[in-house]
Amino acid sequence: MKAAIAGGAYRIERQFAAGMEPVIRQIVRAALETSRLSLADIEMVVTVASDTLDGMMVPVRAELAGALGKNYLNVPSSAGHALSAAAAAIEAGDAKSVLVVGWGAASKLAHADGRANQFDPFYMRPVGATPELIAALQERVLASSGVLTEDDIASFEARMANIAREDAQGDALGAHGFCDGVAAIVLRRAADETSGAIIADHATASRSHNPLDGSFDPAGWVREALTGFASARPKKPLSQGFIEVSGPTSWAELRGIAGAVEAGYVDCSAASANSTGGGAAAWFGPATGIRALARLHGRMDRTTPDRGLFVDLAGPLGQHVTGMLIERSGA
Amino acid sequence: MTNSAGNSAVLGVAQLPMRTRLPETTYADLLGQAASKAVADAGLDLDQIDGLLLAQAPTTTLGVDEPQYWGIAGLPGADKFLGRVHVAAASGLTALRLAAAHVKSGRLRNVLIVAADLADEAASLRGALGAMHDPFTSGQAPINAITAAALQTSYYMATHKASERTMASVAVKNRGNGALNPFAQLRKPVTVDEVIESPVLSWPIRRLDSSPRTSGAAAIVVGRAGDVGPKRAVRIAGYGAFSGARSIGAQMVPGASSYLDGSDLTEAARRAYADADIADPTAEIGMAEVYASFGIFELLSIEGLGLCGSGEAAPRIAAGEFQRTAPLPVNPSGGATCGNPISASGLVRIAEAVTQLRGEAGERQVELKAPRAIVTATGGLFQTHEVGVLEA
Amino acid sequence: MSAARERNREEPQDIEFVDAGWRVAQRYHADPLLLRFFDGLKSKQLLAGKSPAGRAIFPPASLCEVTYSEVTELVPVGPRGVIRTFTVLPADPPKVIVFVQLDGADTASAGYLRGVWEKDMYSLDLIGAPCIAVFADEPVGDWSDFWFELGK
Repeated sequence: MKAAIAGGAYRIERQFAAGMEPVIRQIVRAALETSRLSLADIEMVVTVASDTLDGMMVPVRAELAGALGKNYLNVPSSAGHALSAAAAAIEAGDAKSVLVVGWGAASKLAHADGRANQFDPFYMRPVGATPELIAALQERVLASSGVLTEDDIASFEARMANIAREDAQGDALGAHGFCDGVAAIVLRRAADETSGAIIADHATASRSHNPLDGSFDPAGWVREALTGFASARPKKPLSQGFIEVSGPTSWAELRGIAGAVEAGYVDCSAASANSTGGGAAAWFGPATGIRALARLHGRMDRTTPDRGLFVDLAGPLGQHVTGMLIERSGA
Repeated sequence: MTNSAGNSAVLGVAQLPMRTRLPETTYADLLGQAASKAVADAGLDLDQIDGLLLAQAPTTTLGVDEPQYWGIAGLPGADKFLGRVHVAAASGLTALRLAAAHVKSGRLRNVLIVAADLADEAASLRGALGAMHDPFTSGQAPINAITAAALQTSYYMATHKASERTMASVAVKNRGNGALNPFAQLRKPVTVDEVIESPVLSWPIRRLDSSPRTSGAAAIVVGRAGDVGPKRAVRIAGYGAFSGARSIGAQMVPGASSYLDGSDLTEAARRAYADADIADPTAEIGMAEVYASFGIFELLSIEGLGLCGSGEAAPRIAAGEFQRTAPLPVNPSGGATCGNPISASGLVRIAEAVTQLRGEAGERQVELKAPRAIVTATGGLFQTHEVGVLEA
Repeated sequence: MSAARERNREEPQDIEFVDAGWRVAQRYHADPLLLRFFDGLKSKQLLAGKSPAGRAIFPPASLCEVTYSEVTELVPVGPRGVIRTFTVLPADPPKVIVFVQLDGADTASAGYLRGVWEKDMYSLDLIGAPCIAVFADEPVGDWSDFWFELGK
């Protein structure tokens, strides 16, 4: 019993003037409305949010996400992990409907980025490791290996920034794309859902942020994740598929797109990938990927290809990969 | 949700001896040690693990945020990381629920769950956890894990006319059990007098009634029921969960009193029993490992699980029931009273229950009248309840 | 764990310790209903939030978690109430924390109980006892503005 996307909603802004909580409630209600479900219909809630970014423990505030009385899970490591968990719950028969809600006030990071705390205190912190620093290392390695040029990155970043600005009510979001955001997706059993965006398959691949095999290229990680799909790769990729990659940086996203293309599930050029704007241009923490998926689903119409890939890259290098194969029903 | 856990099982378990401090090990070391032991216990090779979950409660105690970026490097299944689960002290059991879902979906075959806590790396546990609460209402009165449990305890004592001596019997039972558990942090029995004469933390809770600060780790492998040899098979027979209200005051009034009477836990248990097809837990359950960082949690859990009536748990424990040698032992490991590595606590409950069901518990082995064990974990201020039923 | 115990603990030998910490700048937003509640305290008013379904939440919050609905209305509650449970913090003098359900409120809420002799603090008869919220002479708009005392 596969899971299908029943609805979604999101909101991003440079900074939420009245704080996060009212927006969370607004987006939960909006996601339920687009799914034509009430909170009482939801059997399970999954949240994605960082205690540190919130400044308060998240799982004890699950009622914000409508979790009271229900099965509840908090998977703060990434949108992809949370969406996978929700899909697995439906596939396993644990729940008929799952609400996935994520949020983050990454605007705080624009003022002061304390994320050096993510690095081990023995080796990496003493040499000044920060997410920005190791991402810069990654960019350099990718550039010097010839797989990316500064022009590639610049034109992609410009395209992504425009889409993000659209979503952020016209706000420009600055160099790192830090913003405040909330996004929610409702999943149901495919048999119960008429809109027909089914999660046909999902799989993960990961590395540590000091990759033990010395490779910094997300393309390899994405290919690895997609190889983990249960369904066999088609002999010829379906033409005109979509590819949406949400990642921490534009170079991680570009390489993620390359890896997704190379995996051969869909035929999609890098230039037409990421119609949702990705994640780097509007980044609000581990939940960032949910926005891309919600936007993708919200704009699906008869012109949307029948099959496509959604890839979430989490971590400073995009080293935690979740790949999802999305199929329109009847495909 | 009937038989939702139908074909998933615990294939392997491991825990490390719990201590106050483990200064010679890092967080990553602890995870690695527990992981390799669990995979070996499952009779698997390291590369047979096709999914990895990390259960980790607040990271302020650990001093490293987003611990999955660093801590999982080199662990079995690290290349197929499925995510970090964080539901405070319930993390281990919610991770079990998720691992079982991945296996039941048919997608994965051997999912490893690891958890570790180093309680000693932050100078003050209360300080580290204090950063986690709402700064606007925390000025009202210091409501933390200890004062919150004390509120439940005084209500129980008043409502059921239970004396301090009777209430102390939980700690006495558990400390006695811990003395036989080589993994326990606290291994010396205590007497009722010692408990009620120990310093007051928040009346009526005294130091010996509450769990210590603990460093430790545990890991389990979840797989398909058919993959385990008959002698070591422990099926996940059923599961129930309930996410409760954040406001404890909202649940202390007539008509909405789950904070005081544990009815949220009762509902989670009801869901688990429905899932596992259990009609009469007192007859069909052999033992229970319940999360009890304070004695009151154990009392409310025993009652909430339907193992006795409301208000009966304390006097019955004082009278010898639920002890190691009784028909339905509760916390034969000594429970969290004897060691509570918060992130790993849920997994420790599972490891203990599985070890007992397999008949491999050595000195602390209990006699099981039925081959089924309940495991519970609770997150927040008695807020989120997870109940699992394991079956040999 | 007491401070005395922490100070006397010896560090194990032959192990190198690394001191590190982290600072994360935070910006907390107060619930607007709570801000109105604090304002109400200045005029010695105890205000609860009233949900659309009629549930009176004290202290007020913008979300009624039971029905997942927005709360915008405030209603006065108390000053009389009933102690639903309590605990005593060791201190000199000890502090009694009570959870009181004020008349008209559908929730209990924390506060300090004053005016009780130390010998009477550890009495389970406090549970279910009537009490009353008492205000400081010049409230400033925070939690210290009021406390509870026994009596009808």
